[in-house]
This record gives sequence, C-alpha cells and structure tokens, in this order.
Amino acid sequence: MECVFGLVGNDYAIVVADTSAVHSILVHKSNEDKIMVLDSHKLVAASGEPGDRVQFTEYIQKNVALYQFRNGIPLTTAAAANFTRGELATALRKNPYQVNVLMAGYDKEIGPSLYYIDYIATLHKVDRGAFGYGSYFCLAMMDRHYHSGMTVEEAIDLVDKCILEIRSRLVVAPPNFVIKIVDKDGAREYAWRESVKPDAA
Amino acid sequence: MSIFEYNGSALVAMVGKNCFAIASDRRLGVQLQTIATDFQRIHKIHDRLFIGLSGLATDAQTLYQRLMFRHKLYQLREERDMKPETFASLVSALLYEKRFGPYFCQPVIAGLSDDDKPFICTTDSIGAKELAKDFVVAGTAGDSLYGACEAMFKPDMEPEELFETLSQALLASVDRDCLSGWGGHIYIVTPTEVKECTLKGRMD
Repeated sequence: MECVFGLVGNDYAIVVADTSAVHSILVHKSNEDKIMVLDSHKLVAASGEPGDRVQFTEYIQKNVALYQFRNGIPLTTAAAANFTRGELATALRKNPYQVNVLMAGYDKEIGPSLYYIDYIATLHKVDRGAFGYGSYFCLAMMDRHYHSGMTVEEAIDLVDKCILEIRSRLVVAPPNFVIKIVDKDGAREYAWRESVKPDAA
Repeated sequence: MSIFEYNGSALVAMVGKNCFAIASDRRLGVQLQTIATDFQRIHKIHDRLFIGLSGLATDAQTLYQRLMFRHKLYQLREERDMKPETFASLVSALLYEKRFGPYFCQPVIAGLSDDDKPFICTTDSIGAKELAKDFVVAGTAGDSLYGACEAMFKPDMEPEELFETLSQALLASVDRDCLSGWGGHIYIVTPTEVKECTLKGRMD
C-alpha cells in the first residue's frame, strides 16, 4: 500500500512518498519520511520492506558521501543511480534487498533527472515514475496531465491530483504524503499533505 | 508468469546481401504495467557487431556490462575488435558459467565478419548457440516473429529492402504480443555505415 512517485520538470525534479509505517493491520506511525536526502542535490524515495528500505538507503547515502570525501567532487545522479543498481544486482542472487527506488537529482551541466530502479535492479531513466499500488493511479494521471517544461506550480498541481486519486480510489489509501523537490538550489522538503494529523511522537 | 516474461521483449536479426539488420521493440514493463516506452535492448559492441538482449531486463543490463568489460579488455590486449564468431563464443561461455543459476536472458548477436559476410546467432539462457543463415528471433514475441520472418524473408536482400522487410515483420509480430511493442528500434549495418531508425507502430 506504499505509494512513491515522481516527475521531472524543466529545471527541477519532484518526488512524493506516502508517510505511513504499517505492520500488517497496524499503522505504527503516519509521519515516516521515506525520501532520503542523499547529498546536496539528490533525493532517494524508497518503498518496500521497512528494514531493507532504511538499511539500503543509508548504505547508499554513506557510500555516496565517501566518494565525495575521497575524490573531492560529488557523484553525478547517473553515477549514483548506477552504483545503486550495482549494489542491488550484486545482492540479488545472494540476499536480495526488497526495496524499490526512485532517485531524483540535479546536475549542473545535465539538469534534472529521475531514475527508476526496481527491487530486482532494473535501471531506467524516466520522466515520470511510480511504485506500489498507487502507481496504477499516478501513472495514469501523469500520462494525462504531464508535459515537458512544466512549472513547479503546475507540477505540484499534478501531484495533488495524483494524491487525490490515491486517496479516493485505493482501498487502504495512506492518509499523509511528503513532497520533496531538487533543483539548482539543492534538495529540500517542499510540503506535506496531511489528512490525518500524526501524533507528536 | 515465467521470469522470462516479466519485462517483455521482442528481438530479431536478419541477414541480407553483405549487410544485416537487427531490430527490437521499445517497451519496458513490469508484468502487465508499462514502465517506459524508450527502453534500449540492442547495444553496439563495436561498429560491426551488435548484441540484443531479451528477457529479464536486470540480467540484460548486468550481462551487457560484463560483455562490454570483456570486449574492452580484449581490445586493449589484442589491439583490435572482436570477430562476431569469437564474441558469440564469449557470450556462450559467460552464460554457461552460470549454468545452475542462469541469467534469464536470450541474446541475439549480429555482426559482419572480416570478409564483410554477415553473421547472426542466438543462444538460449544457458549458452547453447544457434547459428542461422537467414534470421534469428528472441523474446516474448518470438513465436510470432518466427512466423512473420519465415513468410517475409528472401535471401540476398539489399539494405533498403531488408529494412522494410524486418520492420514489417517486427511490427506485425509485436502487435500480437501484449508484453512487447510501443514502437521499434532497428539498426541496418553495411560494411560502410550503420543506420539507426526508430519505428512507429501501434502504441499499445
């Protein structure tokens, strides 16, 4: 029931994830941040097995940081995405990670990009992508309303349309979502969309 | 659903007069859902050698990376490009290495030998080579491709006629397969040039 989706605009990339941490029929918390800031200009939105999700994304984050320390320059988004795919592929026939990843980044010469990385390490650069049951609704909405060169406002409008579809059409729809954006000024949280106020803890 | 049908694919290579053509579909799917319509299945090893990888996309990507690595090392050591026959044997060996835990891919190899004679071959997922003189097919649309190619193939076609024949065979076949399609990618290779075209078919 986890929903993760994202899209690329003319000079930004947006990723959205639901914020429910669920175990069987119990909702542990509804403000779980599933979009990790990988470095100053990269975001990783991950969905899947909760333990694997946190462990794997932290592993990727620390290795990306190590590269920057060792070499003095940050990895490009494509390089980070290929590294992530490599780790998933190596683990696939030993001890697979059950994590689906949408990696969004902004590079100075290349601009924004979004990479779809399956849990079985299928890598593809996309304009818009989605994982989970919500993908059936998000991909359809984005196919209808997305066009290249959208402004941030138009994109957030589209994101809200997708969230509305998920909330109204998915049987166990997650109530809250977090939206993060990456552009030339860096990766940051953009907004939350809450329909159930989570507790302070 | 079989693991070979998880992503969906269609690949075909055909021999002409001192030339060959290799074509693929463009769909990347996850079972019934389409993820992308611009997926590259055919890769250039060098100007006279192409490999198409059908089957599970993640294994196709891993296998392509391993093959590029091996070919680049070969180029450094031998100071020349690999012959298609040699490359086919390399692919076969790499696949059989994983005999009891295979890559779920079916490659299609197409190249021009030293005397400008076209060479095509396919292997199964554990490296059993199948050389052919006319055409080879792979992917979820493989059965349809066999029929279409058998009907449309003529020996010694010139590049233009080969392009038409292969395009029609590919598009007709993927239209009967729900897991492949969304257009086509075709490379026509002669001793002097490589032409790359994108085909527009039924976008579904």
